[in-house]
Amino acid sequence: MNWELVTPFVGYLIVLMIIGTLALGKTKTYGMFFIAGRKLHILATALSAQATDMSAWLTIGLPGQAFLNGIGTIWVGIGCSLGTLLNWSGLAQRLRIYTGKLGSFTIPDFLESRYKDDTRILRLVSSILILVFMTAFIGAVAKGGAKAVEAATGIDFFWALVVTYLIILFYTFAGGFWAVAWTDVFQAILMIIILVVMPIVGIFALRDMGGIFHAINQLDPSMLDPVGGLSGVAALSFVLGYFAWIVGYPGQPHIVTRFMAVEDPRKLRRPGSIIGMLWVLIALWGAVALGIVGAAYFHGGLADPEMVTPELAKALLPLPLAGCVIAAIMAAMMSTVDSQLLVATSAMVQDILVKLIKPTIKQENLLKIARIGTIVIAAISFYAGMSGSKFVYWAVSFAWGCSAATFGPLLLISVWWKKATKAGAIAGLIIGAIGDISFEYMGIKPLGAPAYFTWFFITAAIIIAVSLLTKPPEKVDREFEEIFRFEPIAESESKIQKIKARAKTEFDVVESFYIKA
Amino acid sequence: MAALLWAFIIVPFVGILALTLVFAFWDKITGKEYVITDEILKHEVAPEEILGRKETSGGEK
Repeated sequence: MNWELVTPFVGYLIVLMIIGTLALGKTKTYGMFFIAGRKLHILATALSAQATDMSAWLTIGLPGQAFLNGIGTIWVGIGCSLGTLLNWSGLAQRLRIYTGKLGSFTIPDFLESRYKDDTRILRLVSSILILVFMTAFIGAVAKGGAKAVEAATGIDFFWALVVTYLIILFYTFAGGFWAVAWTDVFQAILMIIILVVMPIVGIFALRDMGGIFHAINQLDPSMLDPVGGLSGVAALSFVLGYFAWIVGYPGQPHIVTRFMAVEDPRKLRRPGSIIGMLWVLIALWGAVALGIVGAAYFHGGLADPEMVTPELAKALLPLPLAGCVIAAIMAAMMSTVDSQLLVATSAMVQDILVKLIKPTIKQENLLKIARIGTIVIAAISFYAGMSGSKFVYWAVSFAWGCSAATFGPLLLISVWWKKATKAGAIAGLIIGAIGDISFEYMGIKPLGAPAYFTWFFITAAIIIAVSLLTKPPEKVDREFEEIFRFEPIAESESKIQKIKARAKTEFDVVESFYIKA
Repeated sequence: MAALLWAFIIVPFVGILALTLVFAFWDKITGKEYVITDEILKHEVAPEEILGRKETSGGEK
Protein backbone atom coordinates (compact mmCIF):
# COMPACT_ATOMS: atom_id res chain seq x y z
CA MET A 1 0.00 0.00 0.00
CA ASN A 2 1.34 3.40 -1.01
CA TRP A 3 0.61 6.02 1.66
CA GLU A 4 1.22 8.97 -0.66
CA LEU A 5 -1.65 7.68 -2.77
CA VAL A 6 -3.85 6.69 0.16
CA THR A 7 -3.58 9.88 2.27
CA PRO A 8 -5.72 12.13 -0.03
CA PHE A 9 -8.31 9.35 -0.11
CA VAL A 10 -8.41 9.28 3.70
CA GLY A 11 -8.74 13.10 3.72
CA TYR A 12 -11.70 12.82 1.35
CA LEU A 13 -13.43 10.33 3.65
CA ILE A 14 -12.89 12.65 6.63
CA VAL A 15 -14.63 15.52 4.78
CA LEU A 16 -17.62 13.23 4.17
CA MET A 17 -17.78 12.38 7.86
CA ILE A 18 -17.69 16.07 8.79
CA ILE A 19 -20.64 16.77 6.46
CA GLY A 20 -22.47 13.78 7.99
CA THR A 21 -21.87 15.12 11.49
CA LEU A 22 -23.15 18.58 10.51
CA ALA A 23 -26.24 16.98 8.97
CA LEU A 24 -27.12 15.15 12.17
CA GLY A 25 -28.23 18.41 13.78
CA LYS A 26 -30.40 19.32 10.80
CA THR A 27 -32.23 16.04 10.27
CA LYS A 28 -34.86 15.93 12.96
CA THR A 29 -37.93 14.72 11.13
CA TYR A 30 -39.00 11.91 8.87
CA GLY A 31 -39.63 14.38 6.03
CA MET A 32 -36.15 15.85 6.47
CA PHE A 33 -34.66 12.36 6.34
CA PHE A 34 -36.29 11.33 3.06
CA ILE A 35 -36.72 14.58 1.15
CA ALA A 36 -34.73 17.26 3.03
CA GLY A 37 -38.00 18.84 4.23
CA ARG A 38 -38.53 19.99 0.62
CA LYS A 39 -36.16 22.89 1.21
CA LEU A 40 -32.97 21.78 -0.50
CA HIS A 41 -30.79 24.52 -2.02
CA ILE A 42 -30.80 24.57 -5.82
CA LEU A 43 -27.00 24.10 -6.00
CA ALA A 44 -27.28 20.91 -3.95
CA THR A 45 -30.25 19.76 -6.04
CA ALA A 46 -28.52 20.31 -9.38
CA LEU A 47 -25.11 18.88 -8.50
CA SER A 48 -26.55 16.03 -6.44
CA ALA A 49 -28.83 14.98 -9.33
CA GLN A 50 -25.86 14.83 -11.69
CA ALA A 51 -23.35 13.22 -9.33
CA THR A 52 -25.98 10.63 -8.38
CA ASP A 53 -26.56 9.85 -12.02
CA MET A 54 -22.90 9.28 -12.86
CA SER A 55 -21.49 6.35 -10.90
CA ALA A 56 -17.89 5.16 -11.13
CA TRP A 57 -18.85 4.54 -14.77
CA LEU A 58 -18.01 8.20 -15.42
CA THR A 59 -14.46 7.99 -14.09
CA ILE A 60 -13.68 4.35 -14.97
CA GLY A 61 -16.13 2.91 -17.53
CA LEU A 62 -16.49 5.82 -19.97
CA PRO A 63 -12.76 6.64 -20.22
CA GLY A 64 -12.22 2.89 -20.69
CA GLN A 65 -14.68 2.84 -23.61
CA ALA A 66 -13.03 5.90 -25.17
CA PHE A 67 -9.65 4.20 -24.71
CA LEU A 68 -10.93 1.24 -26.75
CA ASN A 69 -13.31 2.84 -29.27
CA GLY A 70 -11.93 6.36 -29.69
CA ILE A 71 -13.82 9.42 -30.79
CA GLY A 72 -17.10 7.57 -31.52
CA THR A 73 -17.63 7.40 -27.75
CA ILE A 74 -18.80 11.03 -28.04
CA TRP A 75 -22.18 9.49 -28.96
CA VAL A 76 -22.45 8.34 -25.33
CA GLY A 77 -21.87 11.93 -24.27
CA ILE A 78 -24.54 13.15 -26.70
CA GLY A 79 -27.07 10.52 -25.58
CA CYS A 80 -26.42 11.04 -21.87
CA SER A 81 -26.46 14.82 -21.99
CA LEU A 82 -29.66 14.90 -24.08
CA GLY A 83 -31.21 12.43 -21.61
CA THR A 84 -30.21 14.73 -18.76
CA LEU A 85 -31.73 17.67 -20.61
CA LEU A 86 -34.92 15.65 -21.05
CA ASN A 87 -35.00 15.23 -17.27
CA TRP A 88 -34.52 18.92 -16.60
CA SER A 89 -36.89 20.18 -19.27
CA GLY A 90 -39.55 17.48 -19.25
CA LEU A 91 -39.74 16.27 -15.70
CA ALA A 92 -37.94 18.29 -13.01
CA GLN A 93 -40.21 21.30 -12.56
CA ARG A 94 -43.55 19.58 -13.16
CA LEU A 95 -42.66 16.65 -10.88
CA ARG A 96 -41.66 19.05 -8.07
CA ILE A 97 -44.88 21.06 -8.48
CA TYR A 98 -47.09 17.96 -8.60
CA THR A 99 -45.42 16.17 -5.66
CA GLY A 100 -45.39 19.40 -3.64
CA LYS A 101 -49.11 19.81 -4.17
CA LEU A 102 -49.84 16.15 -3.34
CA GLY A 103 -47.35 16.04 -0.44
CA SER A 104 -45.56 12.96 -1.83
CA PHE A 105 -42.20 11.84 -0.41
CA THR A 106 -41.40 9.08 -2.88
CA ILE A 107 -42.15 8.01 -6.46
CA PRO A 108 -44.61 5.26 -5.36
CA ASP A 109 -46.25 7.87 -3.08
CA PHE A 110 -46.64 10.18 -6.06
CA LEU A 111 -48.02 7.51 -8.40
CA GLU A 112 -50.62 6.41 -5.86
CA SER A 113 -51.76 9.97 -5.13
CA ARG A 114 -51.64 11.07 -8.77
CA TYR A 115 -53.86 8.21 -9.95
CA LYS A 116 -55.98 8.01 -6.77
CA ASP A 117 -55.13 4.32 -6.71
CA ASP A 118 -57.10 2.73 -3.88
CA THR A 119 -56.09 -0.78 -5.02
CA ARG A 120 -52.48 -0.01 -3.84
CA ILE A 121 -51.15 -1.95 -6.86
CA LEU A 122 -49.15 1.00 -8.20
CA ARG A 123 -47.45 1.52 -4.83
CA LEU A 124 -46.76 -2.17 -4.34
CA VAL A 125 -45.32 -2.88 -7.80
CA SER A 126 -43.26 0.32 -8.03
CA SER A 127 -41.84 0.00 -4.51
CA ILE A 128 -40.87 -3.66 -5.06
CA LEU A 129 -39.13 -2.75 -8.34
CA ILE A 130 -37.24 0.09 -6.64
CA LEU A 131 -36.37 -1.97 -3.57
CA VAL A 132 -35.04 -5.02 -5.46
CA PHE A 133 -33.18 -3.19 -8.21
CA MET A 134 -31.66 -0.45 -6.08
CA THR A 135 -30.54 -2.81 -3.30
CA ALA A 136 -28.83 -5.12 -5.80
CA PHE A 137 -27.34 -2.13 -7.61
CA ILE A 138 -25.78 -0.69 -4.44
CA GLY A 139 -23.66 -3.78 -3.84
CA ALA A 140 -22.50 -4.00 -7.45
CA VAL A 141 -21.58 -0.32 -7.78
CA ALA A 142 -19.73 -0.31 -4.44
CA LYS A 143 -17.87 -3.47 -5.41
CA GLY A 144 -16.75 -1.91 -8.71
CA GLY A 145 -15.39 1.17 -6.94
CA ALA A 146 -13.58 -0.86 -4.28
CA LYS A 147 -11.95 -3.05 -6.96
CA ALA A 148 -10.63 0.05 -8.73
CA VAL A 149 -9.21 1.38 -5.46
CA GLU A 150 -7.53 -1.95 -4.77
CA ALA A 151 -5.96 -2.05 -8.24
CA ALA A 152 -4.73 1.55 -7.97
CA THR A 153 -3.51 1.72 -4.39
CA GLY A 154 -3.01 -1.80 -3.14
CA ILE A 155 -5.62 -1.37 -0.35
CA ASP A 156 -7.24 -4.75 0.21
CA PHE A 157 -10.55 -4.97 -1.71
CA PHE A 158 -12.60 -6.26 1.21
CA TRP A 159 -11.43 -3.52 3.58
CA ALA A 160 -11.84 -0.80 0.94
CA LEU A 161 -15.44 -1.98 0.54
CA VAL A 162 -16.10 -2.20 4.30
CA VAL A 163 -14.69 1.27 5.01
CA THR A 164 -16.63 2.78 2.10
CA TYR A 165 -19.85 1.18 3.28
CA LEU A 166 -19.35 2.34 6.87
CA ILE A 167 -18.70 5.93 5.83
CA ILE A 168 -21.72 6.02 3.51
CA LEU A 169 -23.84 4.44 6.22
CA PHE A 170 -22.60 6.95 8.79
CA TYR A 171 -23.59 10.08 6.91
CA THR A 172 -26.78 8.66 5.41
CA PHE A 173 -27.91 7.36 8.82
CA ALA A 174 -27.09 10.66 10.48
CA GLY A 175 -28.26 13.19 7.95
CA GLY A 176 -30.51 11.41 5.45
CA PHE A 177 -31.28 13.33 2.27
CA TRP A 178 -29.57 16.54 3.37
CA ALA A 179 -26.27 14.75 4.05
CA VAL A 180 -26.48 12.72 0.86
CA ALA A 181 -27.15 15.82 -1.25
CA TRP A 182 -24.36 17.97 0.24
CA THR A 183 -21.78 15.16 0.17
CA ASP A 184 -22.80 14.77 -3.49
CA VAL A 185 -21.96 18.46 -4.04
CA PHE A 186 -18.46 17.92 -2.64
CA GLN A 187 -18.07 14.76 -4.72
CA ALA A 188 -19.35 16.47 -7.89
CA ILE A 189 -16.78 19.26 -7.49
CA LEU A 190 -13.97 16.76 -6.96
CA MET A 191 -15.04 14.74 -10.02
CA ILE A 192 -15.29 17.74 -12.33
CA ILE A 193 -11.86 19.07 -11.29
CA ILE A 194 -10.27 15.73 -12.11
CA LEU A 195 -12.13 15.35 -15.43
CA VAL A 196 -10.98 18.80 -16.54
CA VAL A 197 -7.41 18.72 -15.21
CA MET A 198 -6.44 15.20 -16.29
CA PRO A 199 -7.06 15.58 -20.06
CA ILE A 200 -5.32 18.99 -20.04
CA VAL A 201 -2.26 17.53 -18.29
CA GLY A 202 -2.31 14.64 -20.79
CA ILE A 203 -2.51 17.00 -23.78
CA PHE A 204 0.50 18.98 -22.47
CA ALA A 205 2.41 15.74 -21.89
CA LEU A 206 1.78 14.73 -25.52
CA ARG A 207 2.51 18.31 -26.70
CA ASP A 208 -0.84 19.08 -28.43
CA MET A 209 -4.08 17.63 -29.79
CA GLY A 210 -2.46 17.18 -33.25
CA GLY A 211 0.06 14.84 -31.62
CA ILE A 212 -2.76 12.90 -29.95
CA PHE A 213 -4.75 12.49 -33.20
CA HIS A 214 -1.52 11.39 -34.94
CA ALA A 215 -0.76 8.78 -32.25
CA ILE A 216 -4.35 7.45 -32.35
CA ASN A 217 -4.29 7.29 -36.15
CA GLN A 218 -1.16 5.16 -35.99
CA LEU A 219 -2.75 2.92 -33.37
CA ASP A 220 -6.08 2.35 -35.17
CA PRO A 221 -7.54 4.80 -37.74
CA SER A 222 -11.10 3.64 -36.99
CA MET A 223 -10.74 5.21 -33.54
CA LEU A 224 -10.86 8.60 -35.23
CA ASP A 225 -14.05 7.76 -37.12
CA PRO A 226 -17.30 9.00 -35.48
CA VAL A 227 -18.95 5.65 -36.30
CA GLY A 228 -15.95 3.46 -35.46
CA GLY A 229 -15.09 2.71 -39.11
CA LEU A 230 -18.45 0.99 -39.67
CA SER A 231 -21.09 1.58 -42.32
CA GLY A 232 -24.76 0.83 -43.02
CA VAL A 233 -26.75 -1.00 -40.35
CA ALA A 234 -23.59 -1.67 -38.32
CA ALA A 235 -22.93 2.08 -38.11
CA LEU A 236 -26.57 2.72 -37.15
CA SER A 237 -26.32 0.07 -34.40
CA PHE A 238 -23.10 1.66 -33.17
CA VAL A 239 -24.75 5.07 -32.87
CA LEU A 240 -28.07 3.74 -31.48
CA GLY A 241 -26.28 1.56 -28.91
CA TYR A 242 -24.70 4.67 -27.43
CA PHE A 243 -27.42 7.19 -28.20
CA ALA A 244 -30.11 5.04 -26.53
CA TRP A 245 -29.08 6.40 -23.13
CA ILE A 246 -31.23 9.42 -23.91
CA VAL A 247 -34.43 7.67 -22.76
CA GLY A 248 -32.91 6.23 -19.59
CA TYR A 249 -32.88 9.29 -17.38
CA PRO A 250 -36.47 10.16 -16.46
CA GLY A 251 -36.94 6.64 -15.06
CA GLN A 252 -34.21 6.58 -12.42
CA PRO A 253 -35.90 7.03 -9.00
CA HIS A 254 -32.65 7.92 -7.20
CA ILE A 255 -32.08 10.80 -9.65
CA VAL A 256 -35.56 12.25 -10.06
CA THR A 257 -36.19 12.27 -6.29
CA ARG A 258 -33.63 15.12 -6.17
CA PHE A 259 -36.01 17.36 -8.08
CA MET A 260 -38.79 16.65 -5.57
CA ALA A 261 -36.70 18.06 -2.71
CA VAL A 262 -35.84 21.52 -4.05
CA GLU A 263 -37.20 24.49 -2.10
CA ASP A 264 -38.53 26.49 -5.07
CA PRO A 265 -39.59 24.70 -8.27
CA ARG A 266 -38.95 27.81 -10.37
CA LYS A 267 -35.24 27.52 -9.65
CA LEU A 268 -35.13 24.14 -11.38
CA ARG A 269 -35.51 25.96 -14.69
CA ARG A 270 -32.94 28.62 -13.87
CA PRO A 271 -30.25 28.31 -12.50
CA GLY A 272 -30.81 24.55 -11.83
CA SER A 273 -30.83 23.28 -15.42
CA ILE A 274 -27.85 25.46 -16.38
CA ILE A 275 -25.71 24.25 -13.43
CA GLY A 276 -26.70 20.60 -13.99
CA MET A 277 -26.19 20.62 -17.76
CA LEU A 278 -22.86 22.49 -17.64
CA TRP A 279 -21.56 19.94 -15.13
CA VAL A 280 -22.76 17.00 -17.23
CA LEU A 281 -21.39 18.33 -20.53
CA ILE A 282 -17.97 19.12 -19.07
CA ALA A 283 -17.82 15.80 -17.18
CA LEU A 284 -18.82 13.63 -20.16
CA TRP A 285 -16.62 15.34 -22.71
CA GLY A 286 -13.78 15.37 -20.14
CA ALA A 287 -14.14 11.62 -19.52
CA VAL A 288 -14.07 10.85 -23.27
CA ALA A 289 -11.03 13.13 -23.74
CA LEU A 290 -9.33 11.39 -20.83
CA GLY A 291 -9.77 7.96 -22.48
CA ILE A 292 -8.50 9.20 -25.85
CA VAL A 293 -5.48 10.92 -24.29
CA GLY A 294 -4.81 7.69 -22.37
CA ALA A 295 -4.94 5.62 -25.58
CA ALA A 296 -2.41 7.96 -27.20
CA TYR A 297 -0.18 8.01 -24.12
CA PHE A 298 -0.10 4.25 -23.54
CA HIS A 299 -0.34 3.40 -27.30
CA GLY A 300 -3.38 1.29 -26.49
CA GLY A 301 -1.25 -0.94 -24.28
CA LEU A 302 -3.09 -1.33 -20.98
CA ALA A 303 -4.09 -4.75 -19.65
CA ASP A 304 -7.38 -3.33 -18.34
CA PRO A 305 -8.66 -0.31 -20.35
CA GLU A 306 -10.90 0.67 -17.40
CA MET A 307 -7.77 1.43 -15.38
CA VAL A 308 -6.81 4.22 -17.79
CA THR A 309 -7.80 6.99 -15.32
CA PRO A 310 -5.72 5.85 -12.31
CA GLU A 311 -2.83 4.68 -14.51
CA LEU A 312 -2.66 7.99 -16.38
CA ALA A 313 -2.82 9.84 -13.05
CA LYS A 314 0.07 7.80 -11.65
CA ALA A 315 2.08 8.33 -14.84
CA LEU A 316 1.53 12.09 -15.16
CA LEU A 317 0.88 13.51 -11.70
CA PRO A 318 2.81 13.63 -8.41
CA LEU A 319 1.58 10.77 -6.19
CA PRO A 320 -0.50 12.85 -3.74
CA LEU A 321 -2.38 14.40 -6.69
CA ALA A 322 -2.83 10.96 -8.21
CA GLY A 323 -4.35 10.04 -4.83
CA CYS A 324 -6.91 12.82 -5.38
CA VAL A 325 -7.83 11.19 -8.71
CA ILE A 326 -8.44 7.90 -6.91
CA ALA A 327 -10.56 9.77 -4.35
CA ALA A 328 -12.56 11.17 -7.30
CA ILE A 329 -13.17 7.62 -8.58
CA MET A 330 -14.55 6.71 -5.16
CA ALA A 331 -16.54 9.96 -5.08
CA ALA A 332 -18.26 8.98 -8.33
CA MET A 333 -19.19 5.63 -6.84
CA MET A 334 -20.22 6.88 -3.40
CA SER A 335 -22.41 9.69 -4.72
CA THR A 336 -24.51 7.08 -6.52
CA VAL A 337 -24.53 4.47 -3.77
CA ASP A 338 -25.70 6.86 -1.03
CA SER A 339 -28.66 8.02 -3.13
CA GLN A 340 -29.61 4.46 -4.05
CA LEU A 341 -29.36 3.47 -0.41
CA LEU A 342 -31.75 6.25 0.57
CA VAL A 343 -34.26 5.57 -2.20
CA ALA A 344 -34.27 1.81 -1.44
CA THR A 345 -34.78 2.61 2.25
CA SER A 346 -37.69 4.92 1.42
CA ALA A 347 -39.29 2.15 -0.67
CA MET A 348 -38.97 -0.28 2.21
CA VAL A 349 -39.94 2.04 5.08
CA GLN A 350 -42.32 4.63 3.64
CA ASP A 351 -43.91 2.71 0.78
CA ILE A 352 -44.13 -0.81 2.13
CA LEU A 353 -43.89 -0.70 5.93
CA VAL A 354 -45.62 2.57 6.81
CA LYS A 355 -48.13 2.83 3.97
CA LEU A 356 -48.97 -0.81 3.31
CA ILE A 357 -48.19 -2.96 6.35
CA LYS A 358 -48.46 -0.84 9.47
CA PRO A 359 -50.00 2.61 8.96
CA THR A 360 -50.54 2.91 12.73
CA ILE A 361 -46.84 3.50 13.50
CA LYS A 362 -46.46 6.48 15.82
CA GLN A 363 -45.13 9.68 14.24
CA GLU A 364 -42.32 9.98 16.79
CA ASN A 365 -40.97 6.54 15.83
CA LEU A 366 -40.82 7.14 12.09
CA LEU A 367 -37.37 8.74 12.02
CA LYS A 368 -35.90 5.94 14.13
CA ILE A 369 -37.44 3.34 11.81
CA ALA A 370 -36.09 5.15 8.75
CA ARG A 371 -32.59 5.11 10.22
CA ILE A 372 -32.81 1.43 11.13
CA GLY A 373 -34.06 0.79 7.58
CA THR A 374 -30.86 2.36 6.22
CA ILE A 375 -28.76 -0.13 8.18
CA VAL A 376 -30.91 -3.05 7.01
CA ILE A 377 -30.66 -2.10 3.32
CA ALA A 378 -26.91 -1.47 3.60
CA ALA A 379 -26.40 -4.89 5.21
CA ILE A 380 -28.53 -6.70 2.59
CA SER A 381 -26.81 -4.93 -0.31
CA PHE A 382 -23.36 -5.67 1.14
CA TYR A 383 -24.25 -9.34 1.47
CA ALA A 384 -25.81 -9.38 -2.02
CA GLY A 385 -22.72 -7.74 -3.53
CA MET A 386 -20.34 -10.19 -1.86
CA SER A 387 -22.47 -13.32 -2.44
CA GLY A 388 -21.99 -13.47 -6.21
CA SER A 389 -25.54 -14.86 -6.50
CA LYS A 390 -27.01 -15.23 -10.00
CA PHE A 391 -30.20 -13.45 -8.96
CA VAL A 392 -28.19 -10.45 -7.84
CA TYR A 393 -26.24 -10.51 -11.10
CA TRP A 394 -29.47 -10.39 -13.12
CA ALA A 395 -31.05 -7.77 -10.87
CA VAL A 396 -28.03 -5.52 -11.43
CA SER A 397 -28.04 -6.14 -15.18
CA PHE A 398 -31.73 -5.26 -15.43
CA ALA A 399 -31.87 -2.43 -12.87
CA TRP A 400 -31.03 0.57 -15.03
CA GLY A 401 -32.83 -0.61 -18.14
CA CYS A 402 -35.98 -1.76 -16.38
CA SER A 403 -36.28 1.52 -14.46
CA ALA A 404 -35.76 3.38 -17.74
CA ALA A 405 -38.37 1.31 -19.58
CA THR A 406 -41.05 1.55 -16.89
CA PHE A 407 -40.74 4.60 -14.63
CA GLY A 408 -39.42 6.79 -17.47
CA PRO A 409 -42.49 6.84 -19.72
CA LEU A 410 -44.84 6.55 -16.74
CA LEU A 411 -43.47 9.63 -14.97
CA LEU A 412 -43.31 11.72 -18.12
CA ILE A 413 -46.87 10.83 -19.09
CA SER A 414 -48.09 11.32 -15.50
CA VAL A 415 -46.90 14.92 -15.37
CA TRP A 416 -47.82 15.91 -18.94
CA TRP A 417 -51.06 14.13 -19.81
CA LYS A 418 -54.11 14.58 -17.65
CA LYS A 419 -56.01 11.79 -19.40
CA ALA A 420 -53.57 9.11 -18.18
CA THR A 421 -55.47 6.65 -15.98
CA LYS A 422 -54.75 4.27 -13.15
CA ALA A 423 -55.39 1.26 -15.43
CA GLY A 424 -52.97 2.64 -18.03
CA ALA A 425 -50.30 3.25 -15.38
CA ILE A 426 -50.63 -0.24 -13.87
CA ALA A 427 -50.62 -1.92 -17.31
CA GLY A 428 -47.57 0.09 -18.43
CA LEU A 429 -45.62 -0.60 -15.25
CA ILE A 430 -46.27 -4.36 -15.17
CA ILE A 431 -46.10 -5.16 -18.90
CA GLY A 432 -43.12 -2.79 -19.36
CA ALA A 433 -41.17 -4.48 -16.55
CA ILE A 434 -41.91 -8.01 -17.78
CA GLY A 435 -41.23 -7.09 -21.42
CA ASP A 436 -37.94 -5.32 -20.75
CA ILE A 437 -36.65 -8.07 -18.46
CA SER A 438 -37.60 -10.73 -21.05
CA PHE A 439 -35.81 -8.85 -23.85
CA GLU A 440 -32.74 -8.29 -21.66
CA TYR A 441 -32.69 -11.94 -20.56
CA MET A 442 -33.00 -13.24 -24.14
CA GLY A 443 -30.53 -10.67 -25.47
CA ILE A 444 -33.02 -9.18 -27.97
CA LYS A 445 -31.74 -5.84 -29.29
CA PRO A 446 -33.82 -4.44 -32.15
CA LEU A 447 -31.48 -2.55 -34.54
CA GLY A 448 -28.67 -2.98 -32.04
CA ALA A 449 -30.34 -0.64 -29.53
CA PRO A 450 -30.63 -1.85 -25.92
CA ALA A 451 -33.91 -3.49 -24.84
CA TYR A 452 -34.90 -0.55 -22.63
CA PHE A 453 -34.83 1.82 -25.63
CA THR A 454 -37.46 -0.28 -27.42
CA TRP A 455 -39.49 -0.87 -24.25
CA PHE A 456 -39.51 2.80 -23.33
CA PHE A 457 -41.70 3.42 -26.38
CA ILE A 458 -43.76 0.22 -26.03
CA THR A 459 -44.54 1.05 -22.38
CA ALA A 460 -45.53 4.60 -23.37
CA ALA A 461 -47.81 3.18 -26.07
CA ILE A 462 -49.42 0.76 -23.57
CA ILE A 463 -50.07 3.53 -21.03
CA ILE A 464 -51.61 5.75 -23.69
CA ALA A 465 -53.70 2.99 -25.30
CA VAL A 466 -55.13 1.66 -22.01
CA SER A 467 -55.74 5.21 -20.76
CA LEU A 468 -57.72 6.01 -23.89
CA LEU A 469 -59.90 2.97 -23.25
CA THR A 470 -60.58 3.97 -19.65
CA LYS A 471 -61.65 7.21 -17.99
CA PRO A 472 -59.76 9.11 -15.27
CA PRO A 473 -61.78 10.20 -12.21
CA GLU A 474 -63.05 13.74 -12.65
CA LYS A 475 -61.09 14.73 -9.55
CA VAL A 476 -57.75 13.86 -11.22
CA ASP A 477 -58.70 15.87 -14.29
CA ARG A 478 -59.61 18.95 -12.24
CA GLU A 479 -56.56 18.64 -9.99
CA PHE A 480 -54.23 18.41 -12.98
CA GLU A 481 -55.68 21.53 -14.59
CA GLU A 482 -55.53 23.43 -11.34
CA ILE A 483 -51.88 22.51 -10.67
CA PHE A 484 -50.43 23.29 -14.08
CA ARG A 485 -51.67 26.80 -14.70
CA PHE A 486 -49.58 29.59 -16.18
CA GLU A 487 -49.46 33.26 -15.27
CA PRO A 488 -47.42 36.28 -16.41
CA ILE A 489 -43.93 36.31 -14.83
CA ALA A 490 -44.35 39.70 -13.09
CA GLU A 491 -47.51 38.51 -11.34
CA SER A 492 -45.83 35.25 -10.32
CA GLU A 493 -42.82 37.05 -8.85
CA SER A 494 -44.85 39.45 -6.72
CA LYS A 495 -46.98 36.55 -5.48
CA ILE A 496 -43.92 34.52 -4.46
CA GLN A 497 -42.62 37.52 -2.49
CA LYS A 498 -45.92 37.73 -0.65
CA ILE A 499 -45.96 33.98 0.06
CA LYS A 500 -42.42 34.14 1.46
CA ALA A 501 -43.26 37.18 3.61
CA ARG A 502 -46.40 35.47 4.88
CA ALA A 503 -44.55 32.23 5.62
CA LYS A 504 -42.02 34.18 7.64
CA THR A 505 -44.72 35.96 9.59
CA GLU A 506 -46.53 32.71 10.37
CA PHE A 507 -43.28 31.13 11.50
CA ASP A 508 -42.56 34.13 13.76
CA VAL A 509 -46.04 33.88 15.28
CA VAL A 510 -45.57 30.20 16.05
CA GLU A 511 -42.08 30.80 17.37
CA SER A 512 -43.17 33.67 19.61
CA PHE A 513 -46.04 31.52 20.89
CA TYR A 514 -43.51 28.88 21.99
CA ILE A 515 -41.20 31.52 23.49
CA LYS A 516 -44.03 33.07 25.51
CA ALA A 517 -45.21 29.64 26.56
CA MET B 1 -9.88 15.35 -41.28
CA ALA B 2 -8.80 17.27 -38.16
CA ALA B 3 -11.44 19.97 -38.84
CA LEU B 4 -14.17 17.32 -39.09
CA LEU B 5 -13.02 15.72 -35.85
CA TRP B 6 -13.11 19.05 -34.07
CA ALA B 7 -16.58 19.70 -35.47
CA PHE B 8 -17.76 16.30 -34.18
CA ILE B 9 -16.39 17.14 -30.73
CA ILE B 10 -17.50 20.76 -30.46
CA VAL B 11 -20.81 21.05 -32.35
CA PRO B 12 -22.83 18.64 -30.13
CA PHE B 13 -21.40 20.27 -26.99
CA VAL B 14 -22.33 23.78 -28.10
CA GLY B 15 -25.66 22.64 -29.57
CA ILE B 16 -26.80 20.93 -26.36
CA LEU B 17 -25.66 23.91 -24.30
CA ALA B 18 -27.69 26.21 -26.57
CA LEU B 19 -30.77 23.97 -26.16
CA THR B 20 -30.30 24.14 -22.38
CA LEU B 21 -30.22 27.94 -22.46
CA VAL B 22 -33.39 28.06 -24.56
CA PHE B 23 -35.15 25.90 -21.95
CA ALA B 24 -33.66 27.87 -19.04
CA PHE B 25 -34.98 31.17 -20.41
CA TRP B 26 -38.21 29.82 -21.91
CA ASP B 27 -40.28 31.63 -19.27
CA LYS B 28 -38.63 34.92 -20.23
CA ILE B 29 -39.17 34.18 -23.92
CA THR B 30 -42.88 33.43 -23.46
CA GLY B 31 -43.40 35.80 -20.52
CA LYS B 32 -45.28 33.09 -18.60
CA GLU B 33 -44.44 30.83 -15.67
CA TYR B 34 -46.25 28.10 -13.71
CA VAL B 35 -48.53 29.30 -10.94
CA ILE B 36 -46.75 28.50 -7.68
CA THR B 37 -49.00 28.39 -4.66
CA ASP B 38 -48.00 28.41 -0.99
CA GLU B 39 -49.24 24.82 -0.81
CA ILE B 40 -46.58 23.81 -3.35
CA LEU B 41 -43.87 25.81 -1.59
CA LYS B 42 -44.86 24.50 1.83
CA HIS B 43 -41.76 23.40 3.72
CA GLU B 44 -41.67 21.01 6.56
CA VAL B 45 -40.72 22.84 9.77
CA ALA B 46 -39.50 20.56 12.51
CA PRO B 47 -41.26 21.11 15.84
CA GLU B 48 -37.89 20.42 17.49
CA GLU B 49 -36.42 23.31 15.53
CA ILE B 50 -38.93 25.70 17.05
CA LEU B 51 -38.50 24.23 20.52
CA GLY B 52 -34.73 24.45 20.16
CA ARG B 53 -34.98 28.14 19.32
CA LYS B 54 -37.26 28.62 22.28
CA GLU B 55 -34.67 27.23 24.63
CA THR B 56 -31.84 29.25 23.13
CA SER B 57 -33.83 32.47 22.98
CA GLY B 58 -35.15 31.91 26.46
CA GLY B 59 -31.65 31.47 27.79
CA GLU B 60 -30.45 34.65 26.15
CA LYS B 61 -33.30 36.66 27.54
